[in-house]
Amino acid sequence: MAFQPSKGKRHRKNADGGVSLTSLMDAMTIILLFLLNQFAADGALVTEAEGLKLPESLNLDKPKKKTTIAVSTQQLVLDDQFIADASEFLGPVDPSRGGFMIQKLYDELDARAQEQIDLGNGPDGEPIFTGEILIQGDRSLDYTSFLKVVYTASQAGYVKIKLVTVEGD
Amino acid sequence: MAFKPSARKKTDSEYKEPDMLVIMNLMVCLIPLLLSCAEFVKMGTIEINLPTDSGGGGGNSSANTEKAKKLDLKVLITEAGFTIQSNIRGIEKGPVDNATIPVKPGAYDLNVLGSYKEHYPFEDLNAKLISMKKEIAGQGYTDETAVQITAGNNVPYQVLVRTMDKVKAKYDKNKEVEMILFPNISLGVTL
Repeated sequence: MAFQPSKGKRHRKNADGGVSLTSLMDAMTIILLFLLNQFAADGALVTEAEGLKLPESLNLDKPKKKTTIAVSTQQLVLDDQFIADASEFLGPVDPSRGGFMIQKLYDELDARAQEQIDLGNGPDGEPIFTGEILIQGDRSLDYTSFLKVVYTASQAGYVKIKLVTVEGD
Repeated sequence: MAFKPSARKKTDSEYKEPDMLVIMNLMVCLIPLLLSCAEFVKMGTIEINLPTDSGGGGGNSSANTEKAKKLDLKVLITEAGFTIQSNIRGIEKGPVDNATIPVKPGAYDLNVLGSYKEHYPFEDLNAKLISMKKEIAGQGYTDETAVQITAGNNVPYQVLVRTMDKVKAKYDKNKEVEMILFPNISLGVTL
């Protein structure tokens, strides 16, 4: 003799034992939001250049995307554009090779600065050229080579120099 | 009263919801795996000031500059350690290679975590600058927040950045600034 089906079970949609995915979807949504929050940034992200290890620092003012010079012990790159290899800027100051000046870097920076100065002001009324620049240096880079980059940037008009670091103890 | 649908009416053509359970299982495994593999590195910046045209000359100072009370703090990083120079204490020479705060013996490797921090006594430098900051407080030095850092040719960039940290402020265990020291950092040149 068959029993009458239970009234409580009448509205169950997955009477065959199927799993409700709602809770899983909730979990996925939360994880997705968490990840989005982690990667959220004002404007564009500053990403670590290839082939270098940034130094650790306790000071963590948020970097904003600007013209970036990446200096490793192999090459010098300006906004993903190769500028010079190590032989052209590493090592002690040589007056016969321009002293502190890295000529190729100066030429490129100067051209960019002039281009931005010629454009005048942006839509917000502020000058497009702010003289700000980010330097990503490899942690093993020697002081003199680093100073050459700083000097060259300042000669090209980039006087607001910020050094990019990663959080460390 | 509606009758229960007949069990015999079930046919193969009946619509079946795709089984998402397997995919969701995969996702549940993949997301933690990706999260554990991801490196969440916080990036930051340190601002440096470039020397002004009048800086470093010595002989061309105007009358106003001469009257101004200046601390003229300098920190030199060499392979021997840190040497501190200021107008109140002059060059503070230490027992080893004239370094105010000599490095600890032995070599270091930048690729080994924390190795350079053990070699260069950053905490001692920080303590020294804290005492100097307390000493000059309220004495009217016009450059009481300024410091010039100079390093030897072979000093690694990492050591320079770490020195900047320690010169700039005193941090507590939570990496919060506890006391501002000399945040206006400029770079000097060794010839």
